[in-house]
Amino acid sequence: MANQMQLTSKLNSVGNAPTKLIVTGVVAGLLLVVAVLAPAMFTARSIQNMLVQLGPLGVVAMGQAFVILVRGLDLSVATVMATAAVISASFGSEPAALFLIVPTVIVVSGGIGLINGLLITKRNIEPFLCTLAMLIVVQGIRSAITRGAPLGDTPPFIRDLGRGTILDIVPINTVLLLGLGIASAFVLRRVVAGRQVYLVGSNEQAARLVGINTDRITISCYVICSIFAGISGMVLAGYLNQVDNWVGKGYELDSIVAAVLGGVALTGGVGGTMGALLGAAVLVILSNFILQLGIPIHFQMIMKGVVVICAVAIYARRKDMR
Amino acid sequence: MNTEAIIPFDDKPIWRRYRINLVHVGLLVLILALIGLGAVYTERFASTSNMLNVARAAVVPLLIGIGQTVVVLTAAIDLSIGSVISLSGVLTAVLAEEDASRLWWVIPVVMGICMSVGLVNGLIVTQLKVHPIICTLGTSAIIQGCALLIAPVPKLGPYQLENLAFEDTLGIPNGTLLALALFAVTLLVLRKFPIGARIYAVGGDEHAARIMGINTTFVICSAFVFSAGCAGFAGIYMVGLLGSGSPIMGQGYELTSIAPVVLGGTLLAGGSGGVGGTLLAVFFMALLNSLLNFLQVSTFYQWVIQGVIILVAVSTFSHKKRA
Repeated sequence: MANQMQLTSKLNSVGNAPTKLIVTGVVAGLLLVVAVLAPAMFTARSIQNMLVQLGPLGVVAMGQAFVILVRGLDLSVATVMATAAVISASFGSEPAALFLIVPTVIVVSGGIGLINGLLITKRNIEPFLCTLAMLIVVQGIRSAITRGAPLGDTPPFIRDLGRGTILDIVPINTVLLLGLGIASAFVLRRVVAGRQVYLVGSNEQAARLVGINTDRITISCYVICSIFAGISGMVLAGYLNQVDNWVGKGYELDSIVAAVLGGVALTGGVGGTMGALLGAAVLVILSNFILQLGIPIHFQMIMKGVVVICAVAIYARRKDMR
Repeated sequence: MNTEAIIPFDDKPIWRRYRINLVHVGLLVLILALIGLGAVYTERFASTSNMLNVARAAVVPLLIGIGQTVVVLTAAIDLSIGSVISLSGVLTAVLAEEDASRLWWVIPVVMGICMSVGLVNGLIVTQLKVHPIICTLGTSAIIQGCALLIAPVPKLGPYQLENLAFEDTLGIPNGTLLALALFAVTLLVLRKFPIGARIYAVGGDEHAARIMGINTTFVICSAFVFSAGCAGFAGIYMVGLLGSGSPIMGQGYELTSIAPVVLGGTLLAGGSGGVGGTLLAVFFMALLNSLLNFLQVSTFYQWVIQGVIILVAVSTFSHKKRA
């Protein structure tokens, strides 16, 4: 017990600096290590490559942040991404299909989020279990429709969304990512409903007592998360240019790791989408670093597990994260 | 909290000592209804050979379901079960290399490694105060990565392990006997031993349990070690079943382990329920899968049905608790 308290005070004495500053500091340190050990990662081409990879992960991590802000967890994002990928490959490759694909993806993924939110708020189901069960339901329906077979390549505009660039410099999906990031940060910081998300996340009962419709806020967060996952699924399908029933596999863990690493507290009400974006960037840099060093790719998984446990263990001891 | 588990002996006559558990009765009715329906549809369904198939299919869900129940009773959750199965399978195949004479030391070593994974889970949860979902999700990724590093492709295991999966004793499959023995021991420990009462106490209210002088760290760590041990044994059994150990053979088994727990009436909030419900729920789901196979329903729709059953079950029970 005494040891634990010592450890706690030691960790707290990292400074009373806000956690955000520490996260930024860690990122800066990481970049320095990368620059020394793997200088090839800082060529323009490599940076562009990493930005393209950041697109899908960043979008789904921001969605996950919304859900974690209201003390939830969404394990169904990967299956929503695969569903969006399947949808984006099933309307043919005419340019007009874009006007079918995008609304369908948003309606289907939003619908999955709505069911998640309704079950979690109205029937009081544990978020992780509800989304885990939805995962297998959606996976079953999708596989039954596609008969489990891969669907081949994606239409050209989805491909542009995934790996196209503007003037050969800025990836299109980075623009999309920044757009969604700025919009969601604006909503969370400046819009009344966004502020209410923090209130519901930090103290749901108090939020209900001051007249906030807490269920509506929570459900909205799940819908936003699923729609973000759907968008991310389209982007990832375009990036891979190959659609099967398992696009986005592993993104449930990656998105949670990114959000938690970026300072979104699992206890709810602390953090934001920009933090999640930063966390996603760290994850992409680390993954590429492991590739650059020539370490077997399975170490990426081990690294993610270690990172998320360490991040949560350290944040659990910091006052401004509770 | 489940009082009959805390107070093993009282003055009531034996038929009033245990209140009838409505979840168990409901599951029994469902099981009988399924057997009846199946028997009406095709006489092969209720035949002895099909029932033995169901009993074989229930082994892995029963093993990991029992482990998961004990963890859930302490108000935690173990999402690393699937990865531990993969690790155990890969280790068994890599260490034994089709050589049955090595099994006498391979099995204890593999079980030891798996149980130490459980110990690490327990220590991270209790000492570092990481939420069980995140902790086991993280360790799950780490173990999955390790399993893939050890053997990126499936490896043949010793075929003598098949005895475990395909041989019978007294007409009952060996695996089923072992799983039922594990069930009986767990039931006995949960009901009649101090550690059983402590598990319920920690799940009911960890803070109160600690104030009462219960070593909550020990209880939670034991639960995780037990669950990882069950998953490790399930992995060894699956090497016998499949003839090989694959680094991804445990994928999806987290949900397989949680489904019977919640269906059997054990609350995820902890401290209420038991392995009895898990046993009935495992056999219910195994019978349902068998019936759906007879009806030629595709695997994909079976996934949907499994998910919907979990959602319906858990929404019924959690609602009851809030009321």
